Amino acid sequence: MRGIQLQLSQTQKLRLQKALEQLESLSSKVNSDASVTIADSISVNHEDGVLKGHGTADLDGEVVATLCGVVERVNKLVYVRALRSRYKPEVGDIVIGRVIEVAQKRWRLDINYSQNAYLMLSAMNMPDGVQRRRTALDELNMRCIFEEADVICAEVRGFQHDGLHLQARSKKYGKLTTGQLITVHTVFSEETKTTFPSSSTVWAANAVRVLSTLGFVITLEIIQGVIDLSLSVNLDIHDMLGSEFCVLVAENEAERRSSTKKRR
Amino acid sequence: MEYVSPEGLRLDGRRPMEMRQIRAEIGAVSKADGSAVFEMGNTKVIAAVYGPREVQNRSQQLSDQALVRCEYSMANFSTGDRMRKPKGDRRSIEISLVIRQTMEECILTHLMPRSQIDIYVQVLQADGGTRSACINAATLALADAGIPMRDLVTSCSAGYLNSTPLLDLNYVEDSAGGPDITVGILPKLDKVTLLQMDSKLPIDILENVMQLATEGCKAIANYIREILLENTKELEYRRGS
Amino acid sequence: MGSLKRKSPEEETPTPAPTSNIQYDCLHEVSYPHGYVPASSSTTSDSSSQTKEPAKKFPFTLDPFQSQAITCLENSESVMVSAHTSAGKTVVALYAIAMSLRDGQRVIYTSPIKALSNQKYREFKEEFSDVGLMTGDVTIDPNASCLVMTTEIWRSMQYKGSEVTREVAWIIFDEVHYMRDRERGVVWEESIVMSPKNARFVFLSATVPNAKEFADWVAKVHQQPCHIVYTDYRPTPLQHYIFPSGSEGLYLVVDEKGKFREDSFHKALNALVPAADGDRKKDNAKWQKGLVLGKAAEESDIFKMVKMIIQRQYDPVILFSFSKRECEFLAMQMAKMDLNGDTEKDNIEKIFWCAMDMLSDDDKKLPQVSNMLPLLKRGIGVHHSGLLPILKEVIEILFQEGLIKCLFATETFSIGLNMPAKTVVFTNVRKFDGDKFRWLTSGEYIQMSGRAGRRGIDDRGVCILMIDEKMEPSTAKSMVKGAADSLNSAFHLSYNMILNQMRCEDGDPENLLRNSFFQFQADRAIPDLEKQIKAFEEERESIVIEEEDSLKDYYNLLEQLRSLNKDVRDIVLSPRHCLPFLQPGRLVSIQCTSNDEELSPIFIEDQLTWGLIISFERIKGVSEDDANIKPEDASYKVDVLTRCVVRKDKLGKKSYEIVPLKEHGEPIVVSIPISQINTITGLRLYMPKDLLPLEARENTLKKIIETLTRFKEKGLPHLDPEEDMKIQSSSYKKASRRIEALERLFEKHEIAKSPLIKEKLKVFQRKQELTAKIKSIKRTLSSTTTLAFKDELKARKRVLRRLGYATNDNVVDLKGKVACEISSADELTLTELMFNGVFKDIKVEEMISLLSCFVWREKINDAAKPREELDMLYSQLQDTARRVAQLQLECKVQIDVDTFVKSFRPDIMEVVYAWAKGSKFYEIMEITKVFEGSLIRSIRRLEEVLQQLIEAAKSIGETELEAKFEEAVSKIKRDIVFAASLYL
Repeated sequence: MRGIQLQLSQTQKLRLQKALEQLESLSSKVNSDASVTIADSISVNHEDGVLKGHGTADLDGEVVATLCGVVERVNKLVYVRALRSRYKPEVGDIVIGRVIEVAQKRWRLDINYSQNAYLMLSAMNMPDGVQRRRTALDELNMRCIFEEADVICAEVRGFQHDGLHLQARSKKYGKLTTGQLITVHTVFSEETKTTFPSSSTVWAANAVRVLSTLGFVITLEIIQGVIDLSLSVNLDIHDMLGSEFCVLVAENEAERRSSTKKRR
Repeated sequence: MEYVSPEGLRLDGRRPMEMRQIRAEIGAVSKADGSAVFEMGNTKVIAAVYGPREVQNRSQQLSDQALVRCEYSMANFSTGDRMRKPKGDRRSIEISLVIRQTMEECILTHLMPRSQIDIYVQVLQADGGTRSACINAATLALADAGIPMRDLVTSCSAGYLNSTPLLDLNYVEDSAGGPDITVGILPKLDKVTLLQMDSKLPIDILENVMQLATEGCKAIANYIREILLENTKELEYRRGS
Repeated sequence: MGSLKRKSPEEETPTPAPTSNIQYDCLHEVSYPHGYVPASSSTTSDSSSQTKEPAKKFPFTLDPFQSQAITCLENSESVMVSAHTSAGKTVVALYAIAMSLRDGQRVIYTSPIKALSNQKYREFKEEFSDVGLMTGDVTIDPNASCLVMTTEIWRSMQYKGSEVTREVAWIIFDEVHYMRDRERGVVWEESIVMSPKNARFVFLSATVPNAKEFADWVAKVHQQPCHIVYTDYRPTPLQHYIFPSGSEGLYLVVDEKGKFREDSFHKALNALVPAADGDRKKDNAKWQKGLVLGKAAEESDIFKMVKMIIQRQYDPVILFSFSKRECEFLAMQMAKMDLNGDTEKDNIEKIFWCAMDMLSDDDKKLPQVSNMLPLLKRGIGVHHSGLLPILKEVIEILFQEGLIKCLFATETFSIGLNMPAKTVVFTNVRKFDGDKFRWLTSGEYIQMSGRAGRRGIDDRGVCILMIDEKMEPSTAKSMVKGAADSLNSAFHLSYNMILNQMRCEDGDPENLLRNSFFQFQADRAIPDLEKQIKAFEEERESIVIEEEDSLKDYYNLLEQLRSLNKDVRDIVLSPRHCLPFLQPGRLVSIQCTSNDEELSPIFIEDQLTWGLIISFERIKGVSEDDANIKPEDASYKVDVLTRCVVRKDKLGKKSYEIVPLKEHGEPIVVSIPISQINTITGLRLYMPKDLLPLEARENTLKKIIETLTRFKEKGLPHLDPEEDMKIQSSSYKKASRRIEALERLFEKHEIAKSPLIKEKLKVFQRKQELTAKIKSIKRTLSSTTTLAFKDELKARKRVLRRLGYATNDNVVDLKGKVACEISSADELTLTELMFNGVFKDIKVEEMISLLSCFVWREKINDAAKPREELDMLYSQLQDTARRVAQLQLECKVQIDVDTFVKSFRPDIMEVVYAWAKGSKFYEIMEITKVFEGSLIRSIRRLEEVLQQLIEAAKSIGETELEAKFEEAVSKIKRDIVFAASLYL
């Protein structure tokens, strides 16, 4: 079982356990047998064509999982949704990345994916918004726009022959100057139209950290909830990562989910 | 020396076909993409997986599949001996290679072209069967990292002492100089991916001993599957909708 | 190529440009976006004061509209050029390209048709060299500074955010009037709305009357000024002639000054040789007969026509007809004609075989190829979409080289590259537009006649209309002299569009709707509607009524009474109650048929007349011929003798109108529904047995009138519902009690005694109506101010959610991502098929065959049914399509399920199956009757769909399926079907 790496007193341990148990009871029971691990066979109706999507493979006519995760079915498509993995970009996602290298006509960015992503100079809107071809001079001036270790926000454009390409087609993309970059397992974050914007003050950052330690889904709303909680108990920032607050968040989350469930 | 008493008990009180207590824990290294601690009796190893990530050395990049790398090391405190092994000794290199080849076989590398997967395994406490423990830990860590795999790989060792096939040798048994087989299998595909043996063994007995080791692998596989499933479920409910 | 031609020196001198310049000036206007402050003149003059070297110099004097447009370009402002095809719009495009290249910016040229893009690519490549081409079929040098592409490609590049969008400074939309195309027009709107904000546009369009409106829209959407340069100028004036079928000569109806000659038109009509048999008129294909059959002795009209043209040296000539078959048929009539000399023949043969060289030997033997050459050699060509693309291109080239003197073409030839002839002939003036034959619109006429007259060669162009039936001078006039079609939005929503917009990070389908030309045009209508409201309101205010309140009270009472009376009547006249009393001879009062429904009768008595019942009968089902019968009471109808006025409508169908007895009319027995009876009296009159003679009926009616006068004092004895008819329903009692109460109220009303009550009520009623009208206009007004298509968008989003393409928060889901990739076929049906695993189990060839149903839209009447396994797949497709359609219907998307299902045609399944199996092209042509060109187009489109499916399979991680699609592509992509264009 995944341990939570925290020093907990006996009572805290019990409280946390209780909160987690409550969460477990809340999760839909139907889904529990949809969980699979690697090499588990997935039952499908073999009479007609089954589409085997991500995380599945064919073994002697049997559909077998190649990932640990939850089986999802869309019509005849079967795929396994991994619960923990690196970020897998989809066209149109907005990602935050750190510039690793300023290369010829392009920046190389780390976006926590299996490869670095490229942001071509030509895929950037010019700061002055002029439409023109990029010249050699522009290439020399690339460092004026972004340099190494800058954190950039951009949109996933798609895979090209040489790797993943990003683009920044409107003004709202570009360098993020304030805030700090936290790497979390992106599967925690729910797919929404805009993944969380990085107006991350230290509060938000710590809130994200707490949530990711606990493995809870991270949405703007929940981050806000955690921040509010920390304010309401009058906590110092540095205490946010402490075990007491962590337990508190867990209890709070359990309560929140049960209340939303009741509402339904 | 007598490794199996007339009553049929081994030095640590096990039956010949009995495995040591095994224990696994996922998520020991929070920074890594996947990690696990695996214990077989007193043998304890920790594995951490990074990747798939950008290939560090461009020249090694493979355009159609992922590059798998593995680093095996033993903590200095892992054995009681004071003998200091310089880093990168032959044994470590060999075991690194063994683990790498074994794991590479089951990872679906073609799904992650132009990337690299690093597997780090370190022995925290050595009491025989470190090789097997490392492979088992690596499997768990890879699964935890969400890397697509053909099948789980599990490994277990067996030996032949005092005319008795013994499962899962501990350090004392291991260093007795008798034959020692390490087997790695893909349980679902029912295939052997690793087979190593020290010393000599009559051919007719080999089969028995190997069979025993394979049984051990399967037992470990079941355990690992349970751990993974539990972990998956927990992740799912913690994550919420 | 017009510009190329003009470059040759010997042709330049005779151009009589200066004179026409004075005559035809161009209109120049500017649309500024709302609240736009024109850049202060100092800055603009600064840039221009440096008097930059023009980006390109032309070896001829520019026409005023060209230089005007170029000035706009130099000021880097968008421009819309609206002029005739032959006027030389290409000059503007060329200049824009040259200018962008000079300034180190990228430029995009888009055209509606692949072939046109190919031709333009070649033209630009010769001129500028840094030119690339992107169509669905080929991609050449996509990094070039000037990119030629189809509008569809440009749209998808914008959705995908290609870097071109960040570098393109000028976007040239050629033939932008294509925007009114019902199917594809929306692509232009999407492209224009999504174009980068800093880009400038060049729109080239045929003459459209509402160019200003279009420019206003561009100005609004892109917040930049947009110039309009409009000219009616034709470099070569046109003469329009009429050739009446069967006659010998031409009649000039419009001269080159644009004057319509009425007298000559009438002469032409009189010269029409009446059709030999009267039935021919009704036959839709009549005129083919006329042209083709001809009497054995005399030549067919078309032959005579061509002969005359050649004699008068009006060649080269393009003869337009409106169907592919007709086109070929007419060309076959020319069998006896030879228009080329021996050297020309040799040239043609050389060019022809050079082009055909890229075909395999088998393909060279195709009947279409081998049949074409003899025809071409004689200087006769055929050009329509059913030809092999390569043949089409060869013919275009030969025509441009002047080796084809007489070209039979369909309408498609009128669009695109400048390929003028001296003469244009319309072999028909009516066109089949899907459900009926209609006259050509003036817009179509202008477009096609634009091909007449070669600039610099001919001093005038000739247009000949062949007509075979009388047409009104006004029809002819509006066709020949009418205005061009205006540019109207053909905007419609598609799922692919919605999904792409939803996936686009800042895209919002509503945003697109808000910025669409459709919305813009709708908004334009608002002031008009507001004016209407104002007018109505004024009228309402002007009606002043004394004692309005009490009048209103009275009016309401009347209304109530009327509705109650109606309730009672409904009860009394329900078949259950009244049937026993509908005996022959019973006198009943009935309602007259009133034609003006506008004013509902205030006093029922005004509209009543009397009649005698003859009989009644039960009707099975709703009979369609009598529109007066409402379905709910159609079960019985009553034959009544009364006075009627008989009218005949245009179709010759008689309609009867019941009028009061004393009015003028005939005594006739008519069938009426029971509901038209007002009351049933207690009287029965004697009836003569034989009512056939008019006299007998007249007498009976007289008797009725007599009876009526007799009872005038006491009133006619009505059947009492309770006593006589034994009606005992509680609702009847209730209603009759309320009527009594109401009647008492009437007595108290003062106003009822006013002598002018009827007039007053009428005025009041008028006022009420005005109020209602204002209300309804206000409703349309509010529906236009709210977004057009908003409801449909909602409904379609609902569909997407129900099918699991998008989540409730409008996030595109896995299935949606698949559908996003599919833009060349019905995205929902195809995605559903894929997710239902249909493609998984079937063989590659079967899959290809199944996909052919998505790309083939033509209907073939006698196509053979595909073999069983293919047919099964087809029915699977139909099931899926039906489900998809039904679901859309449930979600309130307006769709006709059956039409939708039938839009997937199985007609070429067998053919495509054979092609995928590796058959030669001539082999597959043997098993079908479709045109080669149509088939090739479909297979090319099929390949497009497959490429999209490969992407789709990739996105769901289904590697097996991906490989299968790849295999499919490799199976169909070969030989003549994918032969490269000659223009590349």
